[in-house]
Amino acid sequence: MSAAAPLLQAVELRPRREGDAAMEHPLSLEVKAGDTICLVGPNGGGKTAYLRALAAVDRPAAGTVKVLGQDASRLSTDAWRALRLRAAYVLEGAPLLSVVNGLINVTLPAMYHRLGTATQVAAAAQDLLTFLDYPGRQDLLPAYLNQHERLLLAIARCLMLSPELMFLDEPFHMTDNACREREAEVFRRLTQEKGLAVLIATHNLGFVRRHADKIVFLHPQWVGCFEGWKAFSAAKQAEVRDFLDTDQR
Amino acid sequence: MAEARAPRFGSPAGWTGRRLSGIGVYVVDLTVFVLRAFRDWARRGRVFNRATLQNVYSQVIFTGVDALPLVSFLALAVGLSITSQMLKLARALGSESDVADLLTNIVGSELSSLLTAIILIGRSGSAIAVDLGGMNLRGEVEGLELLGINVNEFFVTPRIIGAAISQFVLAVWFAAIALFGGVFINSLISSGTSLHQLKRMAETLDPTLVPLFVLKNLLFGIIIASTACYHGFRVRRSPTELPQQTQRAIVTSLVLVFAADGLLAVVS
Repeated sequence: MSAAAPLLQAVELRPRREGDAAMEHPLSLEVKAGDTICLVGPNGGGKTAYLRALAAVDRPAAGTVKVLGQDASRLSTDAWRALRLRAAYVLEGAPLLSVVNGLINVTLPAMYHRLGTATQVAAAAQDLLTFLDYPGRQDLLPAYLNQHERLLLAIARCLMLSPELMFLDEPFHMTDNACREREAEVFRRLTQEKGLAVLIATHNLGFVRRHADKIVFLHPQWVGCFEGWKAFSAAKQAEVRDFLDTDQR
Repeated sequence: MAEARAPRFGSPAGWTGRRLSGIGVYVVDLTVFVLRAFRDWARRGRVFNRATLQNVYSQVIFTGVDALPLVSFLALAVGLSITSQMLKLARALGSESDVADLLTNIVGSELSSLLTAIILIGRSGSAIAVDLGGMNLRGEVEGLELLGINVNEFFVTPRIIGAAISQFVLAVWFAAIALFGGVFINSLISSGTSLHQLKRMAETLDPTLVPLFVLKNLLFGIIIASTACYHGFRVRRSPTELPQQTQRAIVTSLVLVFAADGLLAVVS
């Protein structure tokens, strides 16, 4: 794949709802290295469903999605697992393995995939935790860490696999404003320093306003894509206006 | 007009048929689950991954080593009650020659395996089901899947192998304590007249029973862990599913262990 080729291409993508019916509105999107894409919209708009379909976590009901050049609907189980190393996905709440401590959570995927000796993997984990400015203790079980620390560990364990794309579902969930600022800085550094493309489903419009290169608006009655906050905030679409007005109120 | 409702239980024959076919489907589903787990494990090329080997150790420690005091205590209690009573009875009836054979077969082969399996079901089977069910509920299992980790290889196979090894070792330990402990205590009570039974037991031990004993205990361990994993992974979204699936894992394990024991007894 050439350097200019998109990392992700979705054409007329319609994810599945619960109960297997297709979402009504198709989405077409192209993502390049270094892009920050935000999926926004009111609850019930399908942010998680679209994000999962874009990440090839769930098979779409209709349309196509190519992740890192691979057609998501034609992946074998082995190919899907191999893709997961290059297209990381952090679930809502950033769940970590509760029975091992923070550091082992970070090193475990790399150990499982045999990406180095134990010493090399541990050193790489320390480098990443420094890069992410991880403030917490590494020897505690996830239950004893706060949500900000858990999110950073979840991002670190994905980064151990050197992904090119990262998908995050509500990463600002249950964190205060100071932590949100630090998390926003992490995402900025991921795209600008590591060259990752980051797709985030979020309600944090402050982050979207300052950092989004593209905004995907998902509403039960309408779906659309905007080139940045300026275009989004100037949109005349009634659903977008309602959403932005509600947020300002 | 209201639709006529089908009777809740239907005819006895229909009810029995539905139950039997349900059990058949369950056993096939469980077998496929275990075979898939072992297939995924075998496909990795090496016997154990560094990350999954730790899970095998943990399972052996929790299921085997940590259960030793409880198993030892129960084995001693069985030795005191059954072994000791049988020796007393044999002495009263004057048929001590048959007693060694009976003890080896009943206590050594049957009771040790079954009682160890019951301890493992109550202790480890329930723990595995709750553990995996809770991880599934909190999204921890999916979180690992999304890192390209095969959850069958990471969670299921290590638990099955760990439980099978533990069941076998604990059953041997149980048999040894129940027999030796029983004979020893009986000898203390009856001024050392029963110690010769140990020699008789060794003489009457049928060597063909040994492979059957090994097979049976490994099978029990596989049943206990795989049933627990199977039901743990069936917990999806609601916390209320956790106690339901744990209860099913325990009951099903008991039924399958006793059924397997009966089947092996008939076959052998």
